[in-house]
Amino acid sequence: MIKRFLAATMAVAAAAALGLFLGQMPGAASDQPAVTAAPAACSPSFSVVITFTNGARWDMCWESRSKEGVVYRDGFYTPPGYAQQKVFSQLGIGQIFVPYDPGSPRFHDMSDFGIGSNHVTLDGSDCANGKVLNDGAKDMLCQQVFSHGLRYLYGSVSAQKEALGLWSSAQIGAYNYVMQWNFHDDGTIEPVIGATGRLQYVDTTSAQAQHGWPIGPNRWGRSHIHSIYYRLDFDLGPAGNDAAEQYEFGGSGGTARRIFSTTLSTETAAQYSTERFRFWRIVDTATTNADGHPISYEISPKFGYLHRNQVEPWTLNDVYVTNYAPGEVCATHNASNCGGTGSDVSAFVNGETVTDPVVWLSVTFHHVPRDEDEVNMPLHWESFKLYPRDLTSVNPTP
Amino acid sequence: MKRLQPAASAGFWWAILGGLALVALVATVAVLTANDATGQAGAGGPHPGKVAVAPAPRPGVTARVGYDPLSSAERDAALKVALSDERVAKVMGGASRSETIVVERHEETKTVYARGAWDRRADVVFYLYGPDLAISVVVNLATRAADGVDVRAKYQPPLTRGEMNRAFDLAMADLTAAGKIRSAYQNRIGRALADPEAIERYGFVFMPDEVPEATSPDVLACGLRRCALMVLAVTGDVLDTTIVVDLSNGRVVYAGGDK
Repeated sequence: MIKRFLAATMAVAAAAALGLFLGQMPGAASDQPAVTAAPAACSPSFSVVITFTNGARWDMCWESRSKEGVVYRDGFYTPPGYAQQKVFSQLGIGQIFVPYDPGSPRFHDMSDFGIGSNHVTLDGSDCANGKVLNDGAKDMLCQQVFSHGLRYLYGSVSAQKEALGLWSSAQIGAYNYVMQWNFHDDGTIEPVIGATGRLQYVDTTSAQAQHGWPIGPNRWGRSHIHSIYYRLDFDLGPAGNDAAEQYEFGGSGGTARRIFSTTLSTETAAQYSTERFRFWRIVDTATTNADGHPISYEISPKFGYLHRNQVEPWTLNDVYVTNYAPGEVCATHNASNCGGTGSDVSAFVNGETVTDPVVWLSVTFHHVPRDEDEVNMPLHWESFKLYPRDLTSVNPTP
Repeated sequence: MKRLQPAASAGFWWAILGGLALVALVATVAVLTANDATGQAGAGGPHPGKVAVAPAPRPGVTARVGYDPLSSAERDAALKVALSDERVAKVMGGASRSETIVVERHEETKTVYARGAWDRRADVVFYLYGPDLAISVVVNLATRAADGVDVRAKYQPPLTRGEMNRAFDLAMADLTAAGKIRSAYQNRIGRALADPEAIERYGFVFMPDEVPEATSPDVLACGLRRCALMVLAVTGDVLDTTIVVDLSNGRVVYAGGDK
């Protein structure tokens, strides 16, 4: 195992040194594609630049905003040995919707309470082996780089993986959300959200028992949903040329299964499909990898809980592809509490042609309280992944 | 179609020859570092020693640019410009009470961002309780002038800390609401409420769809009026109350909870 690890590390180091050396050689630059400019639209205090052991690199700016919390902007990924590539213009949260099982209350945390205006102050003990970044008012963003276990294993060959984690926490009422974005050294992006703090509602009459779980004598923790809406504005490669596609797989009742793809040229609302393995991708239609395949990022949902009702139209679908519009900020309560245009994400889908796709994706968790949630509630986590698909012609760390 | 190629192509052998010594050196260092890290943390454990981390000077050392949030000096300047704007003063003149809701960097459009550089601008949002209007001012910090003033009804951004405190004071001054709070405190803590200052106050700006069972005309007017749904706690334990305060009219419009 040690030999295998040494070999892998040597290969990684060689690749890294080679990349460094090539960059300094006369003539080498002409063999490389034009490098998209790195983000320069923020000062060093608000930029994150990480080069991993395997030579991969992430560059981005971050900003804390009063409603959205931390948003990540102008993200560039550099696969080991490849040119830097722009990946996204903005990634962040678009709403946290928290309806309780009795039907009330129904909170819209981002628009009605504010995430960024309620960030908690972090100290070094919160951010073990990392560093805490300051938004100008408080220390509130933890930056960590951590091992992510095996990258691959085959025969005598294996490699380890690393990731950059950036997280902040906001106290919304009695809840503390931990909003983390992991940027992996293989280009994968993993939004993660955790909920901790204290139970917000504990009922004391047996009439409420049907909506909760007993957590003490005559005490029922009220069950509820956390629906996180993410707003994902990818902009792959050079400006423009992005398109959204939906993929699914099915057959006619036999054993065979085939692929179906749809280009979402007009704004679309879609549902997760556990039976048809549905996923989406943002593709740059003008840039290909060395195999001639258009570069793209896959939006790979984690199929979990679904919460639907006719009264709240944003619950009727799980993924919304809209054309970029500056007034579309909050997935719910957008006009009434975010000052935007359109009531909610379901209304954003209004037949517009998609030339600059923005993806809104919901992740839902049903929290049934348990005795262990008191006094301090253990974090419960939800996440999904955004994978590079054909960004490079082969695994850049073979 | 533009094509992306692996970086190592024509210059490959050139680089191999010249880079062998460097490769060996870097590999040795990398092995040593990797072994240290492996001993330190398994999957999921942090080991920052393995990566190059760009220095991150604390804000204030460098001038704010681009996406950077506003500095406190920029916020102060933006507020001053907004308050001195004639259009703002004219609208505010009709309000008996107002609140500065937020001052933060103005979110430009992507068209502006695509230029690569843009003016530092701020959003300054006020709420006027009398006419129930939100005023959003876009302040250009380069020109020290208001680029735009938007006055809008039925726009309710989140509450300020001051508004949460005022909502609590109004609730404690209301016989029914104060009774609910005192009763909830007794049930949760096991003794009578002696000092209201012991109660932590949070609040959602209230829209009627947040508490569907509250259907009185006064409650349904929230959204047009500015209302607060209080979340009250003692040392983190939330009191079982559902109290909605109409900040525009200075009174409690719903007092539930303490079941």
